[in-house]
Amino acid sequence: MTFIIPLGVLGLLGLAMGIGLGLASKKFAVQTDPRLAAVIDLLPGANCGACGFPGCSGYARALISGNTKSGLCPASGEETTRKIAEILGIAADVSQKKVAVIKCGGDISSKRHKGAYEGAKTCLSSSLVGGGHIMCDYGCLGFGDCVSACPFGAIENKSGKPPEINTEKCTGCGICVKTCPKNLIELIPSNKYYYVACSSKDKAKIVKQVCDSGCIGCGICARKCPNQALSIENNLSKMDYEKCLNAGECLKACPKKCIKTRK
Amino acid sequence: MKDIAKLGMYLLIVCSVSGISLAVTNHFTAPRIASEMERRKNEAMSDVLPAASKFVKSKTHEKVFEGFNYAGARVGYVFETLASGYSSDIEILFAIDNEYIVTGVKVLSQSETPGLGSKVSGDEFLKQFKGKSREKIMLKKAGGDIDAVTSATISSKAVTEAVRSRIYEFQKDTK
Amino acid sequence: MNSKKIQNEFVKGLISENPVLGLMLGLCSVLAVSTEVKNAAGMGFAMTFVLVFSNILVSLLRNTIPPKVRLPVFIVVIATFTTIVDLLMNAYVPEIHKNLGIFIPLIVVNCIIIARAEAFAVKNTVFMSVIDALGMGLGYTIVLMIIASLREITGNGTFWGIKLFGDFSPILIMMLPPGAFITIGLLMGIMRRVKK
Repeated sequence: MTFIIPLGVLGLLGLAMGIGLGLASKKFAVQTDPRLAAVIDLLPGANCGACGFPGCSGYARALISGNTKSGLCPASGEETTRKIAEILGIAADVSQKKVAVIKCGGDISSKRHKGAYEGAKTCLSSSLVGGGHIMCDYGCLGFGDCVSACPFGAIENKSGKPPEINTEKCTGCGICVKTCPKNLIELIPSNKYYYVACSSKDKAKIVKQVCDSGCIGCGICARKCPNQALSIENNLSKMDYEKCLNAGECLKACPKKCIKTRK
Repeated sequence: MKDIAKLGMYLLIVCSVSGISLAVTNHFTAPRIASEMERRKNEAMSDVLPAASKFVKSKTHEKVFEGFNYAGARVGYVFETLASGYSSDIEILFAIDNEYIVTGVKVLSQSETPGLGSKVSGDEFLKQFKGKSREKIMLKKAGGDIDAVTSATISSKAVTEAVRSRIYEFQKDTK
Repeated sequence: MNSKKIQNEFVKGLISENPVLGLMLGLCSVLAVSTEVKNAAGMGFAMTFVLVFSNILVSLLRNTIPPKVRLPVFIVVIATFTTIVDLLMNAYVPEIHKNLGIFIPLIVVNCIIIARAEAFAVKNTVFMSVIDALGMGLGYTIVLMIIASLREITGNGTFWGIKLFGDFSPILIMMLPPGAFITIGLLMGIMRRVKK
């Protein structure tokens, strides 16, 4: 008998609660578009925000409500974008995929430090103190703010040198571009391989004092380029990727070896 | 409809299993718990009225035990009383001799503040009651002889008042 | 399943994800029960008992629980084991049971237990859930006993009820809530330093 009462009381309570919850969930059910789950599933799920929406579910909701176009996510490949477009019955807006490159190739080991830096070990903090602890005013500070910021883990710290971007993992989301306090990172088309690994606007004399591989604005690369894709602006070589033919003459010609390739 | 039934059934099963396990555990522990309480009570009664070897429930008063020695003479009374403590009810067992002098006080259960009010269960506080008559059983602050436990005035007062008023009631009844 | 992974799951409950100093869960019971080392030990055992068994049961049921009744199921499981441990302690260690008083039933709403059920047991195998529970339970108990030692020695001059010093005027604040908060704060600070 002493077993019947607990069994009965708890059992009935459980039954009542279960039924109650079932009824409540039906009454207060929120109608969701079944396509929403499918779209969210297809999106990479990194919530990087490159699309301009709050996370992947934000972009998915915007797509479902018909307020936006399909190709905004740089992290999903062409195939994914087409699949999403198919589910929603809209046009697949496939744009050229981009990858990030760090436009600095200098030696940033202690040899090139202005002095002993005792602050917080982030690029942002260092950049606030007189432009940074590296001799070159435009150079990479090496604390890896971009490394931490990359939601895909595509950037790797290298000691004594600027970080290295893994092109396979890079989705071109652009978060590193916004993170770098020295604005060293640029998104270039994924089918182009050559870039100027320097951002120094200093005159040649100063560049030579602070870096062995800095751009001195000599212009040889511009002259050697078969399609005039390079031009010198503010003592710095600048690449126009619409004209670049991936010839690689610039890399061979540069006397300071500051043009690099992603390959 | 079917999902609602499913939810109901699932919780029914889980709760039933819970109910049975509790009933089983209780079945096995209840005797031990009950006998422990019983043993404690007898032990406590001997503690508060050492002169007695046998305790008999009073036929004339509620929650009173009469204590008898080996010779069969009544040597005192044992009372069970409840005090409203700071954060719990304090179960008290105490005894008086035939002259209404306290022979011992014991706390059976309480859930006062651990480390503070809980010290009213301790010997240091309770030994003060021994050998005192009802008039002296008040906190020193109120003119009596009992030192409250530091920072546990409410708990101390509750116990003191409970003992005092019980003796008073009993004295009124039996005089 | 390699032993390194198992080791990691267990150790995380002790240091990197210590439920009290790292995850900051279950603080209410810690502050209240840490006045005496004996009580702390009892509480640590009771909590670990409930944590281990509720993790086991939740993990066993993990593939059958309908999502809508997830929470009621967790709570019923935890409450059942808490009641069982309450009955057992009352029967076998009545003194500690008396001292812990209302804090044994409060194990039901100890955040650590429901957090581990929700975050771990419902997504992992029974074996790993046990390891996780043991690590977390041990982490909780160790911290609880450290705090209780500090509070009992400085605030009462005793350890496990045994008087340590002869003439000793206790630092009363250590026995009161502020002392508990201060102690826990200091320990959290030390833990952060250690983790760095």
